[in-house]
Amino acid sequence: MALSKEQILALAPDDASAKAGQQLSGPAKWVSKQASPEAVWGACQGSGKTPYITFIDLTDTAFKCTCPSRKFPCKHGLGLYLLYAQQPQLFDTRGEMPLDLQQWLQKRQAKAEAKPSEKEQKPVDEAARQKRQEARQQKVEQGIAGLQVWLKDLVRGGIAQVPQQMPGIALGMAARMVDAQAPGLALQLRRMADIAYFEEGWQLHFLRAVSGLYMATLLHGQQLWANAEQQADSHQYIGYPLAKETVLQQPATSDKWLVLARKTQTEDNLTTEVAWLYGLGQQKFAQHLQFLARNQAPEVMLTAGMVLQADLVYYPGSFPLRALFRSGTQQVQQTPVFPQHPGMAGVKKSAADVLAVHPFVENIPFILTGVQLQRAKAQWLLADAQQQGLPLLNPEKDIYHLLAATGGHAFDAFVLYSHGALQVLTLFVHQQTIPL
Amino acid sequence: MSLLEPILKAALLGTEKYQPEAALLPHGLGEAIAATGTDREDIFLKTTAVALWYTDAGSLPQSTGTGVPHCPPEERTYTPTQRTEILTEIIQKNDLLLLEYFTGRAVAHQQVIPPQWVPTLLDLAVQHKKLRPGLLSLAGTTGQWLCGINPYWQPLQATPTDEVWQTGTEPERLEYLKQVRAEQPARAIELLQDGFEQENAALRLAFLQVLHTHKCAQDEAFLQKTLADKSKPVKQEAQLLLKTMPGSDLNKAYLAYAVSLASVREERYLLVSRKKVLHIAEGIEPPKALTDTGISKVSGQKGVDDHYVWFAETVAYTPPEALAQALQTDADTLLQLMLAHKGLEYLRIHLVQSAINFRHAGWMRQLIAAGMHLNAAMLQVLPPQEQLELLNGLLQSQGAEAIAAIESLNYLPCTVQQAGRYIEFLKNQPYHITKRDYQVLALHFPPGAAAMLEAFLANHGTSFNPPYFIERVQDMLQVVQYKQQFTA
Repeated sequence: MALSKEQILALAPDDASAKAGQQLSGPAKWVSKQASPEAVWGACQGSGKTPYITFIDLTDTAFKCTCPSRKFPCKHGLGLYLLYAQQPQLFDTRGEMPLDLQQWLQKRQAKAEAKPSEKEQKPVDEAARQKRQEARQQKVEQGIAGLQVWLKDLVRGGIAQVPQQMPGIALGMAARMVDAQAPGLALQLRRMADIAYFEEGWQLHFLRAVSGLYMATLLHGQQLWANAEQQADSHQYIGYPLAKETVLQQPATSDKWLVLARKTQTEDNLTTEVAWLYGLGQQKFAQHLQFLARNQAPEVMLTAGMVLQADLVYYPGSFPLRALFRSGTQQVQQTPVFPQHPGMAGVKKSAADVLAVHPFVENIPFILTGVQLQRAKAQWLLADAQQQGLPLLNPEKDIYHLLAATGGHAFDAFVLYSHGALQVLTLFVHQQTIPL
Repeated sequence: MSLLEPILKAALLGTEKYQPEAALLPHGLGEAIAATGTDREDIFLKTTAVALWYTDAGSLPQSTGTGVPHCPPEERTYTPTQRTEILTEIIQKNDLLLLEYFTGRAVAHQQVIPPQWVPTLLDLAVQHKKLRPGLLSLAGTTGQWLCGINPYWQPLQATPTDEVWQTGTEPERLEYLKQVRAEQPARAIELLQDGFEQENAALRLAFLQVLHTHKCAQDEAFLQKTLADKSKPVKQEAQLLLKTMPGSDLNKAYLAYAVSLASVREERYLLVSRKKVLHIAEGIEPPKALTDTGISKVSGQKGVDDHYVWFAETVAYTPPEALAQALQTDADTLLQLMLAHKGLEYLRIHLVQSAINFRHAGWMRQLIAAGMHLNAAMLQVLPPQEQLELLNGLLQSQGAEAIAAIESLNYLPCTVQQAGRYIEFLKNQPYHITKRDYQVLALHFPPGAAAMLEAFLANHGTSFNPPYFIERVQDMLQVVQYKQQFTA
């Protein structure tokens, strides 16, 4: 099932690739263009003697190309897919699939169907593993002890001078947490460094970060969790790794998953992709993360509005969100229909319930129906039919896109709730899915 | 007192100096923390965490503010999917030339862009004044509605008034004058009359240049006063405007002098027939009014007599029809006689100037046929279809001028054959025009030229040298395909 033009462009690794892909989406660029229900393939004449051969798997969006580009997908993949999306009639459907394309598709199918237990497993040296875990535990505890001293020092003398010292002091402590093998704490400290210290209200954001870190370290050190889920929350916060194979042992949730939003962030040659998913049958949310080294191909290509039949396995926790795909995904056609949401009072109640068991959660997802934009002095709000509203965290640019797309009328939206405010990530209006 | 105020106070002062009371937190939480705390900082950090969680979990949604009025319904139709995709692709590429063209096409079809693209259009309209009218039209009712809400876009709605003339920047005032001149030509003169001498010389010149279009009866009196301007370029501009204004005192003086010099006589030819001959009298020097406004006092060209120079330079500012009538002949015959006159052989450029100044298509055709070197100003005297026929020739001699002419023709489409001739020429001279010029040329091609360009790429493709030209042809093909899809 082919993606739309916007979805295809969203797959581009950067703006330059999107632009180059569009330039290659004209029929004149392709000396051959063929298609079948499962795949599209073509030959593009480059500057060399031999044309580049490009394959696209339509059932589980993937690309393969003979060009030397290290970007993924390359401009040829994007260009061919764009051409197919816009002018499918130009593609010859009579020809047979080339042998190497058939082999590539079969290999992908086999990989997707292989169960984790069938994959080759190395024998585990239990004693060595135990020793490594103890060593790590010790490092983490030492790191935490140092962190607690640092946090107390910050509040003892007063925080008025903190803006002048940031981001240096937080980043320095983050580096120490990386050395202590506590990457989760390092992440929280980098977020502390990113607070806008010269804007009004920075003190509360800072105190939230400092006190949250302190409580998390106490929770870990004193093992104050009430059950296994809260222990998992604590370990995740600190940054203990959990092997994918272990997660995949958990029971899966099978559903048609709507991709609500996809955001990427690149720092130091590492791209983090966060995709939010919603099970249309079971009405559950999930968050899928992919960490990609430079030019590494993602395991799954996701774009907002896509619906995938798939099995998801959640990471353990008291408010499970992060999940993995157990096996392959199959794109399906389905128009999402969302149940009526009780409104902002319901959002606050649900958020309170989540915070009661997992106070460290950053973002709580909701799909709100029939909401409208309103303004209270300089603040934009999202309001429900009962005329109750919550502040919006979206920048002004997003607000005006929301207004333009909705005309000021009510709409449905995928939002993230965080500390009393909402951020709209995707809006659903006029039967369209519009990511912001 | 809010739960967080004492916490903020302690944070700012430091726990050494201030500690919130245990009773701050409800349900005995504060006391429990105080009882188990290891030190002041430990108690403070726990209290802060609990207070923040309690506030986050317990706060209620606020009563809403003011609703946003709904956008009025759009009266025009939205651009269909294919046109929208082309427009959005061009917007994302930030290609202003194509954006201006295709926006114009959509607006001509009374269409507007789907609403989710309107904010992007409005941002572009703020940045690019030249594109503003087209973009605002394409943004439709949604655009007007959003301009009323967002202060950054509000200036887009503003209709300039005389206040701009009083208090605006120089570019704003110039733009306003152009707008007024187009709508109310005499009003433009009224605006200029008040305080013209106080403007700086460059601005006075720019203002006068606006008066070349939408001429009106009130121009002459104002321009006569400007002849006394202390800036030479300003004075010369005023002189030019008066010289090219049929019926003005100065223009009448030019006509009178030309008539005094020239006469058309019939003479015996080859014993059996008679033919008309142009005679130009010697010794009648030009009056001061003419030498003060540009007529040479003596010939500056070796081998060309003074009286021929005087005549030719005067004809440049004499309306052809009026001169022909005064000499009791018709304009075409008069030109033929001047072209045949040996004394005027090296002065034909002035005949061209007359055709340009008074937009005489008949003279221009004959002058081009006589081999006068073509430029864009000459071309623009002719009707659009005739210009198309001549553009290829202009492109070969002066690429930039041809491109300017194509743009001024609003990209009137050529034939596929003409398009093919352009490609044949540029194949051998690929750097003759710029990358942008190739786009302008492509906008001038008919949708049917796509097949011709595809065939060229198929035949020459990889082996062609230089690859720069192949890339330009690919770009042109993309533009022509846009045109095809846009009109589909």
